[in-house]
Amino acid sequence: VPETLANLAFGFAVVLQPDVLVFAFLGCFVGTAVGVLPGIGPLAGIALVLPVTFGLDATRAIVMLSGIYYGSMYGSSTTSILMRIPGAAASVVTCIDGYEMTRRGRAGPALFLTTIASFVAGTVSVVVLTAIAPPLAAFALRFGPPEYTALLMLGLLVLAFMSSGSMVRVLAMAVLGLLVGMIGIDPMTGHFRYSFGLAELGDGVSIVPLAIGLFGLGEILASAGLAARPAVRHPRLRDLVPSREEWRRSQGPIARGTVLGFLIGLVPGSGHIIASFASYALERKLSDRPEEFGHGAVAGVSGPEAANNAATSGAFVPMLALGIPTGPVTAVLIAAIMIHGVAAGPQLMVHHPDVFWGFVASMYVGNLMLLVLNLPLIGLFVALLRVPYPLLYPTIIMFCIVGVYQVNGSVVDVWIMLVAGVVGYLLRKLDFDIAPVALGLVLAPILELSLRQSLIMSNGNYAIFVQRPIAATLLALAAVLLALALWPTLTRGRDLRRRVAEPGVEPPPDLR
Amino acid sequence: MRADHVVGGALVLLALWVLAGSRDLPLGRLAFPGPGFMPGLLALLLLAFGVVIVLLGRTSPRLRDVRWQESRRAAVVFAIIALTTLAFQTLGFVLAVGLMLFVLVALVERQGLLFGLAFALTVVLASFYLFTRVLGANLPRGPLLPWLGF
Repeated sequence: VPETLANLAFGFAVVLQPDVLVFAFLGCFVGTAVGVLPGIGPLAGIALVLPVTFGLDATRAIVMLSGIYYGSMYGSSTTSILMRIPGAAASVVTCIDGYEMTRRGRAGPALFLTTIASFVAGTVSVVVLTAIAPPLAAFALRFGPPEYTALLMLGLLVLAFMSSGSMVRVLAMAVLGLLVGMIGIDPMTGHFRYSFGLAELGDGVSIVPLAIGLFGLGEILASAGLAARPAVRHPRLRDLVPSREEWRRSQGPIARGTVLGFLIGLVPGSGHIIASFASYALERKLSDRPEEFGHGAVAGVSGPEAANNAATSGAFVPMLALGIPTGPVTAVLIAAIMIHGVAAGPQLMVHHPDVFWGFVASMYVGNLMLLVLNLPLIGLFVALLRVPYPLLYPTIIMFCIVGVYQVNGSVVDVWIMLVAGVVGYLLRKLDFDIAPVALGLVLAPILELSLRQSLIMSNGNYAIFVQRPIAATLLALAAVLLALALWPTLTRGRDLRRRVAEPGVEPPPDLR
Repeated sequence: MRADHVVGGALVLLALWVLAGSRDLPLGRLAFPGPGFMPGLLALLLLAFGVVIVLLGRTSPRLRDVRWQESRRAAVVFAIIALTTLAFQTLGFVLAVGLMLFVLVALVERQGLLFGLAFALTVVLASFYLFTRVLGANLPRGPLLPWLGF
C-alpha cells in the first residue's frame, strides 16, 4: 500500500503540471460534448482527436483521449434525460426513466443525480483500479503466449455469453471481425493476405476507420432524414437539487451500480452498455416499488449511470495490466500510446511509470473536472443540442473523413470507413450487434500470434494449453461458460441469462 | 424472407469467398500453422455460424417488417460521401469537402442555396485553418489553394 500511494503521488506530480491539466480538461470537455451530441459516440470522438495527439507525448495523449472516453459517459445522460435520445449507446437505459422524470418536471434532479452517480462511480472505481492494476500487472508477467491465447478465447466467450441476444449471432459477428483482422502481411512468414493488390492493406485494416465507419457513419446513415428532434428542456441551476427522498433512493443503486459496472467492465465486450442494462434489471428486481420503473424511478437513472461509468474504469484494468483491449475504445487508446513507442501491458508500469501513474492520477482529476463541468455548465452543453441536425451531420461526416484520413494519410482508409459504415447500417437495421466485429478485429492479430507462438514453444503439441496452470484454468472457465450457454438448449430449460435479465429491460421500440 | 436469413446467407457467401481466396496461402500443419491456417479456420467457423443463423432464423423479424423509411436518404448521403472520397486527393480538402457540405445542406436537406453556400464556405475554410495551421495536419491541397496563392 505505501508503495502504491508513493507511486500515485508521483502520478499526481505528473498530471498536475499545468499543460497536462489543460489536456485533461480538453479531453473531459470534448468528451462531454461528444456524449451530449447523438450520433458521435466515444469511439468516433477519440478517433477524431487521435491525429491531434501525434504531436504530444504518450502521457499527454492518453490523458486527453481517456478524458474523452469517460467524459462522454458523463455527457451522454444529458440527451437521454432531456430529449429521450441516447447520446451514446451506454445511456439507452437512462432514456426510459430519465425522460419520464423530465416530463414530471424533475429534469434538474435527474441530471444532478446522474452527475453525482457518475462522479462517485468513476472515483471509487479508479481507487479500485489503483489498488488492483499493479498486482495484476505483476501477476501478468507470468503470462506467455499460451496464457494470452486462453485469455482471449475466454474473453470472446464471455462477450458472447454476456450479450442479451443469441450467442451464435454474437460469435458470428466476432468471427467476422477476426476474419477482417487477418487482412495484411502475416507477421511470421511475410505472406500478403487478402490485400487485393493494395500496398496500404499490408499493415491490415486499422481499428480507426472500421470503428468510425461501424459506429459513426452507420449511425448517421441510420438517422438520415428522420423527423426533427423534440424540443430541448433547459433546467435552471437552482432546479438541479434533488429532494431528500430522491437522494435516499439513489444511494443504494449508485453503490450497487458501481460494483456491478466495474466487474462487468473487466471483461471484453461493450462493458459500459451491458453494465447499464444489468444495473437497471438488478434495481428493478430489488426495488420495493418495481411498478415505478418506466415511469420516472430515480433508481432507474442513478444505478445505470453509475454502472456505465464504473465499467469505463474497469475496462482500463486489462488494458493497463495485460495490454489486452476490452473493446474498440481501449484498442484505440493502446494504439495511441504505441505511436509514441510505449506498449501497454505488464511492462508499462516498470518502463514508463510516468505514463501509467500519470494516467491513473488523471482519472481522479478528470472526474473532479467533470463534476464541475457537468453541473454549472449544463446550459452550454444543452445549447449544443439546439444545432439543427441538417447542419450537424454534414459537419460530423467532415470530421470523420479528416479523422480517418489523418491517421495514415491514406484515402484507402476513408474507403474502408465507407464500407464499414454501410455494413454497420445494415447490421443495425437487421438487429445484429456490431461491437463484436470491432473487438474481433482488435483481438485477431494478438490471438493468431499467441496461438502460433505457443505451438512453436511446444514443438506443435496442443497439450501446452492444459499443462500450464494459468492457461488450463482460463480454458476450464471458458468450457464452463460454454456449457452454461448450451445447457438450456440440451435440456430445454430456461436460459440463465434470461432469468437474470427478468423482468425485461428492453428499451422502448423507438429507442432500439 | 427474414432478417437472419439475409445476414446468415451473406456470412455463408463471405466464408466461401474467403475459402476460395485462401487457396494460394500455405496452410501449414495442425502442429505448425501457416499463414492460411487461421483465416481458413475462421472462414469455416463463419460458414458454420452462418448456416446455424439461417436455420434458426424463423423467429427473427420479417424483412418487410424492418422499417426502411430512411434508406433512400441514406443511399444519397452514402453516394455523396463516396464521390467526395473519389475527389478528395484530386480536388483537395477545401474543394471536395466544401462541395460535399454544400450539396448535403443546400440540396439534400433543402436549407437554401445561399445559406448552404455560406455554411459550406465558413465550415470548410475554418476547418482547413484549424486542421492545417493550428493542429499541423497534412491535408490534400488540390489545385485551388495554390491557384489562389495559398
